[in-house]
Amino acid sequence: MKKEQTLKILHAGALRKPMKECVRLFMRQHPQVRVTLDYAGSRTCARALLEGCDTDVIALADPHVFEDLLVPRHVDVFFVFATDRMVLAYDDLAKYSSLITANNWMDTLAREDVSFARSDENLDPCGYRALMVWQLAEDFYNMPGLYQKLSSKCGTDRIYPKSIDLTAALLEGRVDYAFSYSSVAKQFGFRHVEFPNRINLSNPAQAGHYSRAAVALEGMVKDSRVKGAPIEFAVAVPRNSSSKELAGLFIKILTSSEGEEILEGCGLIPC
Amino acid sequence: MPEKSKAADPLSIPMEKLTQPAILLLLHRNEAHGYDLIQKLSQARFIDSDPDTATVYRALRRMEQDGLVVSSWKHGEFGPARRQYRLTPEGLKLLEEWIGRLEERKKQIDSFIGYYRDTQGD
Repeated sequence: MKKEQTLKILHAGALRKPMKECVRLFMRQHPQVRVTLDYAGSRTCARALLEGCDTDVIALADPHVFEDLLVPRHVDVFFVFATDRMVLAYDDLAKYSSLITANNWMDTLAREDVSFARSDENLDPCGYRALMVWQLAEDFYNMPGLYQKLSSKCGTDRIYPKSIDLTAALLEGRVDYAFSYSSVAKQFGFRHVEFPNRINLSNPAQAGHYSRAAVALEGMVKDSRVKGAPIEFAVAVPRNSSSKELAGLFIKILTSSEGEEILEGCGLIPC
Repeated sequence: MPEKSKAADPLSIPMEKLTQPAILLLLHRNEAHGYDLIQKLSQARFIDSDPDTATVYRALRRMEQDGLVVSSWKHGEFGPARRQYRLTPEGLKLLEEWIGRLEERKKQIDSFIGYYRDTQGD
């Protein structure tokens, strides 16, 4: 009897919707394959691989996570397949939602009755990217102390393990605003404040400027420091994959024109 | 400081209109990936603003569908693999047509400015 083929995919929470849709596309072409999907914050995904997690495809929200934790021991080559930008997501029930703009969001968040959230920088790139936006905003808006002010106000009860958790917090009204990816805001129909290019971590033309922001991270073995960079998502087949051929086929679909349509439909920018 | 609104400037030329010829021009010199092209477009003196990331990546995909460029995955010694683009013969032909069209437009612009200068001298 022929052994059932399985493809195991581990991905960043922010990629939940596009990954599910790409899996559906993959299964239409390969109906004999059983696909399992698991997700977490990107750094948590990488740590799972370091601890021996058996996966065939790993898709993360930052190439830096591959470089910092997985290359060359666990991953050989990783492919950049999409980009995004940081936004401040909210719904119409958020306090002052009708008044917030790209020019006053800092003052709105500082109000005593307003709450906002981010994800954990040690587990999820969206978390350290939120901190980078705050650092860059301090300079951009010429507001000394802004970073400290926002950091102090966003306490541990407002810091979630992964970016996708922020959407539940917004939907349930646990917070008014959340620092998220534009794609996630679009997928869940949230309104959002668009930040200027100089601070939204979207544009390679601003890479040098973004690198002025940096965040210290606690590591499993050693601590590290990540510098600001344009947001990119990357995917790889780990060295220990037992289904390399199927994993390669999945990545081919993800980066095909049909895969790109899915990514675009989910608010990402295929690249 | 808030960024200047391009839409408010009646003299601005929409970036979208210049994206395709500018990409053709840069790829005529060297193969490049989208990230690199966005940085080069920003440094190029023929465009007066940062190119929009989505506009450039979408233009590259459309140009590949139209046969003007082809892509392949390239990875260097360090860092991630990226989709790298190069010009096709069709792309080169279109670039040459753009150059011809821009030369005609340059003559018209020179004539426009000359007319103004002559008026000033009257």
